[in-house]
Amino acid sequence: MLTDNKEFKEEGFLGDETFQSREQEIAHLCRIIQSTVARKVFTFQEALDSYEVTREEYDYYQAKNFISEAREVFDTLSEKENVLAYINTATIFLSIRFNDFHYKGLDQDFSKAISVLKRLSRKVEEKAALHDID
Amino acid sequence: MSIHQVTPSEINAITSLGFVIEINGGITADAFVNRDFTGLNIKEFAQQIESNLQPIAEDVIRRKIVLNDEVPPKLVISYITTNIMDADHRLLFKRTFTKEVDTVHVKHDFLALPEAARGKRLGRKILQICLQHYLEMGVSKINVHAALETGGYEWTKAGFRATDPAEMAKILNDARSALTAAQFTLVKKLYDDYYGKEPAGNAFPIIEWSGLPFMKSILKNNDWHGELDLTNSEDLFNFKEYANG
Repeated sequence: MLTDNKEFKEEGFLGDETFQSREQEIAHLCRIIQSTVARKVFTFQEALDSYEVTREEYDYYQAKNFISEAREVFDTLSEKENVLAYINTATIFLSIRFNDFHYKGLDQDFSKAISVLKRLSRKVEEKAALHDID
Repeated sequence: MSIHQVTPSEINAITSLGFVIEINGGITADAFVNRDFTGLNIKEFAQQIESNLQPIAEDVIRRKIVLNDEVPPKLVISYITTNIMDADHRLLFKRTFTKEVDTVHVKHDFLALPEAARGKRLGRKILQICLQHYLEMGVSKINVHAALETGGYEWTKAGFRATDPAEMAKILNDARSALTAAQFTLVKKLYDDYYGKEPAGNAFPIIEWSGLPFMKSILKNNDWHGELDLTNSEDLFNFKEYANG
């Protein structure tokens, strides 16, 4: 009988140790990294090194999450709000992404991109306001 | 969504799959499930287990459902081949549902697949099926004794939290012997972060150890008791990601 758990346990003889893709595994590790860094157990760099995740892999995970969360919000907005929210979000995202020290050499280009997006955002807002008056 | 109600004809359908249903207590199987394990679609669960595990069985299958109308009420589903001593060819699946005051806990007693069926994500598919039913019936906790071979490592990745500080101290000790000083420092930091605040804590996030590449072989060689809280959004997310991963 299989009633004696001293001998038979949940053994996990599944052979499914790995994730189906490296991306899923990276996401798994990035969640751990976020948690350990948030609790100040590890510094960010220490966590990346310990869990063997590169800065690029972590950035990609963050960007993907950010976009997915933003889309969830966009889905709840009207078309007009959606356009504005999208542009604002892109602006914020670019600011965060490229203000990072890794991209200092590219600051000028991205500053331009951000200012173009800001101008575009203002124009859309103005047009939307006119549309409301009409 | 309406709550599933088990009918006598569904119980008959389960027995026609080959399950032996044992009832300890003066109550019918359908009434017992509807009263104490509300929301469990036991026919669908049995059919899913049958359709996924029967094709990989390498020996005669013993299918059994035991309903214990005691305090607390228990429901045990097992699907086990008779070659239980043959580690390379046996098929073991057993889950024990226990009705607590206003919730249900599940114990993952056994899950082992024949060697030829391993590494094909069937284990994770079984977890997905289980999780679907757990959520439908409002299971709040899953308990596991992760042991032997890959079990000590595998279940860490599913987000189970370690409940026994002595087991974690033993793993920490193994790490001290096996790892470099720098590697051990990282392992110890995670240990201290939790047990420094909760010396007798029963929810150590062992998932953070298992993500460290050098901990894999140490965890594989250890066994530990774990618990997963399905009412905790982080635990549930980790479990879902693992089952679908």
